[in-house]
Amino acid sequence: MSRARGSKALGAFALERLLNAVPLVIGVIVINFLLVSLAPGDPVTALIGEFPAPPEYVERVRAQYGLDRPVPERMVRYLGSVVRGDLGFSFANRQPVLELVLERLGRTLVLMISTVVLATIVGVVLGVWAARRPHSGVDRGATGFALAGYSIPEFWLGQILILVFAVGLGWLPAGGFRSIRADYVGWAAVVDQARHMILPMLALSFRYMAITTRLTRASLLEVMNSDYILASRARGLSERRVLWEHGLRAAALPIITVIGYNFSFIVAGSALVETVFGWPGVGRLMYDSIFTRDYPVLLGILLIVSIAVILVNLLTDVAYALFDPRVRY
Amino acid sequence: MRSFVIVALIALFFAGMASAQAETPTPGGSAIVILGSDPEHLNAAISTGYPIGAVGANLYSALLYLDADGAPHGELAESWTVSDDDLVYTFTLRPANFHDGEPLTSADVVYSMEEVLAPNHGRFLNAYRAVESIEAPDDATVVITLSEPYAPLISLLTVFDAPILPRHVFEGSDPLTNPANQQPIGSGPFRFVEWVRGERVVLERFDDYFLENALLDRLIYRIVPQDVARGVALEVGEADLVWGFYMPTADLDRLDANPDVDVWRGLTIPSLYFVFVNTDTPALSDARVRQALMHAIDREQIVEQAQGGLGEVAAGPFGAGFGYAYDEATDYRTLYPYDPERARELLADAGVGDLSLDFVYDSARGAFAAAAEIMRDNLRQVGITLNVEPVERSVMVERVYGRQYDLSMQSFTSSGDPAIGYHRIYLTAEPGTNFVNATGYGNPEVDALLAEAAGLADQAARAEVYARALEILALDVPTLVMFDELSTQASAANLRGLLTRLDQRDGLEFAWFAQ
Amino acid sequence: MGLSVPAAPTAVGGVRGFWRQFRRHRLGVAGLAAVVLLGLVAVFAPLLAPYDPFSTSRNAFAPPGSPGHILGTDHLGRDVLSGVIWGARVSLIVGLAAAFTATVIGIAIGAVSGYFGGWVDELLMRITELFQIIPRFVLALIVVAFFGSGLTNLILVIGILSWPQTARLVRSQFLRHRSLPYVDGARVVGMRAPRIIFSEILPNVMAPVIVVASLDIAQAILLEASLGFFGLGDPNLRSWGGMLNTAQGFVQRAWWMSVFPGIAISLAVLGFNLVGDGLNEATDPRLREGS
Repeated sequence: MSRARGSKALGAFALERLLNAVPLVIGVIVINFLLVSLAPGDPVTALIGEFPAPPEYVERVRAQYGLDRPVPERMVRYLGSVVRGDLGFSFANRQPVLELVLERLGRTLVLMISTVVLATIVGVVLGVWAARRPHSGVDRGATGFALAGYSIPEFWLGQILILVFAVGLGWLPAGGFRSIRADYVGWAAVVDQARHMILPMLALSFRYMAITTRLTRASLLEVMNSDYILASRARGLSERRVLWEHGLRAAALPIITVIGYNFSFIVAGSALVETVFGWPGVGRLMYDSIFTRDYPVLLGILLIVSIAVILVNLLTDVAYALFDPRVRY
Repeated sequence: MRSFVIVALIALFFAGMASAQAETPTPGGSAIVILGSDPEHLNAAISTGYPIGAVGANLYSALLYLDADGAPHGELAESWTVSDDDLVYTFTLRPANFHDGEPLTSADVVYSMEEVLAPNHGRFLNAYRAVESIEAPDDATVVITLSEPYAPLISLLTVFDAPILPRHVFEGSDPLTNPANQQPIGSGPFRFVEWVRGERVVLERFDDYFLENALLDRLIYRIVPQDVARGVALEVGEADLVWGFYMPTADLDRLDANPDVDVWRGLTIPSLYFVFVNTDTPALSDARVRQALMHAIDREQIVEQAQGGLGEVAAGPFGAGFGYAYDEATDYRTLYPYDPERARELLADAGVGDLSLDFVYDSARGAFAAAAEIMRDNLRQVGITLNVEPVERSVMVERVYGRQYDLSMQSFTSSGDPAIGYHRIYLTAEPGTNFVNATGYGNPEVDALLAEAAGLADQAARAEVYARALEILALDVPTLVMFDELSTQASAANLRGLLTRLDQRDGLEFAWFAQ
Repeated sequence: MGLSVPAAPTAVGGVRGFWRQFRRHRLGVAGLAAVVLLGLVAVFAPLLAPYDPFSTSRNAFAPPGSPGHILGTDHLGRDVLSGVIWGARVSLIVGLAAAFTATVIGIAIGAVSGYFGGWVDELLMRITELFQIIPRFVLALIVVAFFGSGLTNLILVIGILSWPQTARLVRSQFLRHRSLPYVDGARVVGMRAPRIIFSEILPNVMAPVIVVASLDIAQAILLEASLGFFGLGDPNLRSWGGMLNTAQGFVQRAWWMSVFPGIAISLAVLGFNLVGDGLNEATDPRLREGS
């Protein structure tokens, strides 16, 4: 297969997947919309506030937000405005939803991306280390860690980290995004923000470290007995080089896959961790919006997250295809 | 010997000077105040939310303010007079400017009240029902004419209930969506700088304030949603002030022991906690059963454990805030002590056994959950099963005010006058109107007495009328009155000049840092 | 699995053979021990717990090791050990019932999709994909917050959001099996589709389904605890997640309120994960490719 033809086919593959995603996104919107609209409780109550409002006032507010229209009509209108890039107006925040979510999205992404990077690096190193000497003490330790990491809930881990490192030892801040007192600038601001990020990042990354460790170990063990590794060894390459260069390249694929397909779990985990640490990201916005019954914001967040999951899955498939020429697309 | 005395005197003199100096307010510095959540927006005239009030109190100004004892004073109003028939209130305004430099005139006051506050602000709306007209005969005069006497009006003209908006910014727009709700323009001691959602709201001193300028350079509201982190923020110097509304009671003892933190406890704006009883539920329509519930619930334990000691077992349906609305003869603490045996007797008298009750409350109110657990245990002792149902707020409102519940925990405040917040709980009402009487209790005599009390400006006369109403309510117990919440506040020890107003959130222009 | 195998493939060599396989996996056995312990605690909770889980007292914040309270008491003077013991019941009921619901739905959708193929398959797989795209926890949180967090609701919500993996697994197995000679044979003798699906193919593909189901139990327990942590557990039951939710306010004052329920959750989840791993290795490891 020539390179040009390959990339063209890959492009077509990606395009096809994107087109396939359109009905999925519509499905997501419809499901979410129905769910939120059919829930008991009247969003107008949250809009009005705590006082005995006369019925005509209630109806005025209802009409103002279009909540007096039947559900199918509202859904069609919503779909229409989503197509135009308008995710609606937040009831509680009196601000466009898109603006509100985008403001928070950056902080969530910072947390998620650094978590994935940390989990990948630590997981791969641990996995390689364990795979080098199967059934050794190191291997057992890494396996034990992987099992524990997969079972400990991240929100509880967050609480324990706060208990130990913030309350007990006083080394790191217990929560928040950055110091408010000292208005750090430049390098100091970066350090300050990093200090605030350490604990949430640890809490969130534990599980993915575990998954990556386990998977790296397993794939490496499989690869290390394959013919071409044996050939490399026969060529007299050092064991270390064989392991890191050849073994890891082969193991990269499953690792990418795992990270890609676990993306929606990272999203959920970050919602929990953001709440524990008061990280002002999308997860917390979602949590707040549930209790203020802010439908438009909830719908917007679900939509954006779902699209992100679709895109990440797509990217994972593309990466898979790029790395592994055997994959047909 | 004599020289020693002189030296000692000199030393004393200087010591006295030094301490006097320390107490002289010095300007400068930024105070960090904790908020538990973002304000929804920053227009205090269209919402009664706590964080909006917290920022709004220092950003906007109003005709009057209530001092720490609840007495009214002029803010924008230099003076005011009330006609003999208690119907016409005339206010004379001070010269004042908005933060954008435009002058604040009586036209702004009339516009704010009629166009923005009356249709959109919950508590002001109550006062507005008694208003016949609001007029501005000249730039510095506002005349409010009532259709019937309404004593609480004065308490409703503060920055929390009637903040003044700039007419030139709002006129011709929808006040609910005006961009100024995000970038507010007020006339208070601080002006708006920035708002980073989920993180902070920053205000700075407004140098053209119409009263004495604020001392602090900046007021930073920091948003800390997880309550555990708030006390910690104070301890490590990342915050200077946390109001009780946001302070986990579990942390107060620890903060007490910290010399860098001042903890204050007191009753300012009494917040009263009670359990509504749905009298439409057959078993609960019998007053004896409601009395039994009062005896069965250990209010002391609830105050101690669910409330972390920050409360006082309540004496009656109007709480502890108003001396004239209390009568020793009907004190609930003596009428209804914790007495499971008596409760069982009353239940047996009423012929009620094996009762299972739905206890509905707003799931966002964590303290209610703890109280519910204690009540579950208490009521089990007298043979009542409590089925606890924390529901999302709008569902709670629908259930409770639509009378689809048995018991429901609620808290109400009545800033400045019991008629503002508490009367509506006992006045006869149809089901379906939110935030009024949800118990289904209706007594024409009580209705008449409360209506009479609301029109009486004289407190001694009011006390007499209230005593008659209390007598009826104490036997009918449509609400199980639990406790008055103590207000608290924790602040950095070097932050002075706090608590100058009835509402803790107000008056931060007097706050300053001791060196 | 070779396509030329004429007879129906036997997944496991009988119960005894299977146990022999499973026993080799030491961690799996440890997991099984944890699960059995959890089960015993849940069943005998009324006998094991020293106190009624809801019984309050004036003895609040008693530290672990206090007389009568090995794991201490919480802010309402409730015994933490009794809460942890009764919590096992909630976790186990939700875990088992939700995983069962998910498995039944997953089998039904996967079997129909894989057996019939064509547009039915296309449609069902689209729906499956849809459920995989919307983050499960986020959706569960919203549904439970709006529709109530009673035990039945929790089970249904977690179950209904957890089936896609089973469905895909079952579908891939059915795709493989439907053209095998033994299935063709069944069709030739006039057996109807439901019968072929349930009595012919299904028994042969159950092994990997059971592996996934045991991992589903672990995930369901974790999800229930997460919802409880957000204050969305069953309010009339004491659950581990619910205990962690109240513990949040007392992290500095009473560490035992968060430490013990958290350990319980981790052990329960770990137990079912290990059992899942053990089962996976004990049954044909090649079946793993199914998902």
